[in-house]
Amino acid sequence: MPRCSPEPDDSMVILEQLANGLSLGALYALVAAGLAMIFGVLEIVNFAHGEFLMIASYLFFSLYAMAGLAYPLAAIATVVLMALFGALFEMLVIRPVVHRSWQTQLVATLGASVLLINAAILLFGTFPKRAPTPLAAQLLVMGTVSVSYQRILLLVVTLGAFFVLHLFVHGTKLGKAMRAVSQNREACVAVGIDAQRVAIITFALGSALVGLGAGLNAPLGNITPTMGILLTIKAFAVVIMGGFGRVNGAIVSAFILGVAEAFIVQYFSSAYVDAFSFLVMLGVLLLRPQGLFGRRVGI
Amino acid sequence: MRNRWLILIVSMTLAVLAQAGPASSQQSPIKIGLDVPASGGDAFEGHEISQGAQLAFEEQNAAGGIGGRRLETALGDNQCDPAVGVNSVRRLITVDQVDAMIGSGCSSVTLAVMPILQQGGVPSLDVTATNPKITEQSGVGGNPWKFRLNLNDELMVTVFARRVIAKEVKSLAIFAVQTDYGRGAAEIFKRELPGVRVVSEEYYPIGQAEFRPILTRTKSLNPEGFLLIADYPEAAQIISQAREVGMSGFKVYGRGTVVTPEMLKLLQNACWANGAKEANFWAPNEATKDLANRYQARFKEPLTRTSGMGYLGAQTLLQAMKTIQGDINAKSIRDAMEKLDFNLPGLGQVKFDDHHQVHYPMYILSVQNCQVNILETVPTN
Repeated sequence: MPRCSPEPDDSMVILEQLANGLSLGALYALVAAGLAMIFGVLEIVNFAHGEFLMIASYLFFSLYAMAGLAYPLAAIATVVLMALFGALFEMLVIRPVVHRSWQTQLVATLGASVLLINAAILLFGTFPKRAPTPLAAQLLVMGTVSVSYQRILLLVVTLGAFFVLHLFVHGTKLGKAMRAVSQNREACVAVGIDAQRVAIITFALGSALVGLGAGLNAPLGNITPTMGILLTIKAFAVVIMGGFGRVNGAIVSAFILGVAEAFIVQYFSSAYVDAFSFLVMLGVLLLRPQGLFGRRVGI
Repeated sequence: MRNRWLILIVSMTLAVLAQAGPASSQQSPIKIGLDVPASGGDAFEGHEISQGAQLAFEEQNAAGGIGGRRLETALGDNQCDPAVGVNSVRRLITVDQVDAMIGSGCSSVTLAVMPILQQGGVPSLDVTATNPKITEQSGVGGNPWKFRLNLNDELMVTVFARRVIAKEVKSLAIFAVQTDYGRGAAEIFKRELPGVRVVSEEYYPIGQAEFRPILTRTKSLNPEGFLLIADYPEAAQIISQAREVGMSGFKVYGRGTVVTPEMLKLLQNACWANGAKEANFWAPNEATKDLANRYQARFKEPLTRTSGMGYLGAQTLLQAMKTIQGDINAKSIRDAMEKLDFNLPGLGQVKFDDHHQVHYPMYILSVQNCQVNILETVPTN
């Protein structure tokens, strides 16, 4: 059978891998930003954050593929429902352990992760679910570069969401309260800022970002109970690189990691992607131990 | 007072004697361990094997069990991880005290737990793991407790490579899962295709969702053929994303569960896989139609290759148990399996060779008109 695809030249391959890396980075960013925000405000590492994406993806599947809602409505509903889920998670899982030792917090969030995975297996089984949109099958082709419109939507909406997040965090009273609590919780309580309310809203916001990630990314692949595990590991690498608690740092690091992975595959091998990814993370930490956007802390 | 003590002692003695004796072992259930990946990236496989086996045992229990004894299952989760699998199998043997096992589902785990099976003296029947080393290390000169129902990659890959791939392409990109199964099959393909140029050999971890970077690189190398050593969730993702990055005009070959109805179900358009070919040890056929209906009714899911093999594996164990005269235990099940020679509808003649491997015809499958078709069946003995 004659081959139909023209041979790509180097510049087109670079462009294509850049597009691949940015779309990968967008998903990492949506997960990592929430993780960074939660750590920044509550100083808790949520080991169940990858499972939030899994839950959000199943929610989207239920609304779009099963209930038959129109895609925009299903995506928005997923974001709203995940915000509510995040708030509930904060009240039931996080609040009882927020003043306990880090070991207790780790066990609580890890336990929640295992519970969420097994709940998904019980409710949905292990056969992968799919919720593709028409945009996932329609391709934009420019020479040898080809990308689905769903992936373009993922990238564009993600960038838009982070712009809105930036305006919220820096321009609203609630955003300022979140930044204040992340700097000094006790001082905030002393001046009358409701830290508890800020904690719930932070979790809701972080979960909503994950819900947005699911609404944009779920149409592109399989939805399985364990889909969040590999992503959690990458999200942690990104958050560490960006400076723990630094949302801007997490977002920039996510895109750097996504692009780095794409080019490592192109010029080295897929077998070394994870090794190189963590090497990049180590390299950043060696040069800037506080992460790309973190502040140095004196002892 | 003395009479009261005498009555008490006689009563207790009678009670102890009533508990002992051969009649009590006939009432205890026969326990079958399911050593499968119940969680992790390969959980779908473990879930399907378990359900297939469970259906067979439920049907047998409804028919009165075996020799008046019910069949019970004990689930062990090996997570498709050798270290976890060793502990899981140890628990099945020492705590659950199973009489036989079905598993391990993943070649890496099977190879790791074989010494544990030998130490524990429990027979285990593999139904999906395909690495040839399992056969080499079983039976004569090896582990007398390990058996394999499914065909191994040495049998299937050799036939598929020479009969199909070598005649159709001159260059090939290999894309395999990063496990003993994936690497083992890739090595055999390379060995059996000396006239075919392998332009790239890429590996990915189980559960990976993003393949665009690897596919973009593969596209730039322009192979005539693309060999996927993968299971259906990743295979569907790879084929979808290959289309998305603009790969076209190349032949797709599979070794795993690539050309299967369950893979096509995961594609947005099943016709995207038209022309793909694969060698496999099981395919839906006339003999399994009734089983497919019963499975769907019981579990509300379609019968897959893996669940089909779980069922057939359980049937093989049941057949062995039915031939046993006397107590059904681990050793007698092992001895009975070595002597088995029967026709298993949906698979073929089941007779273990001296390395405890079965030989029945394999299938070469292809996707034509957006559906799975059997191109040919090829004997493997």
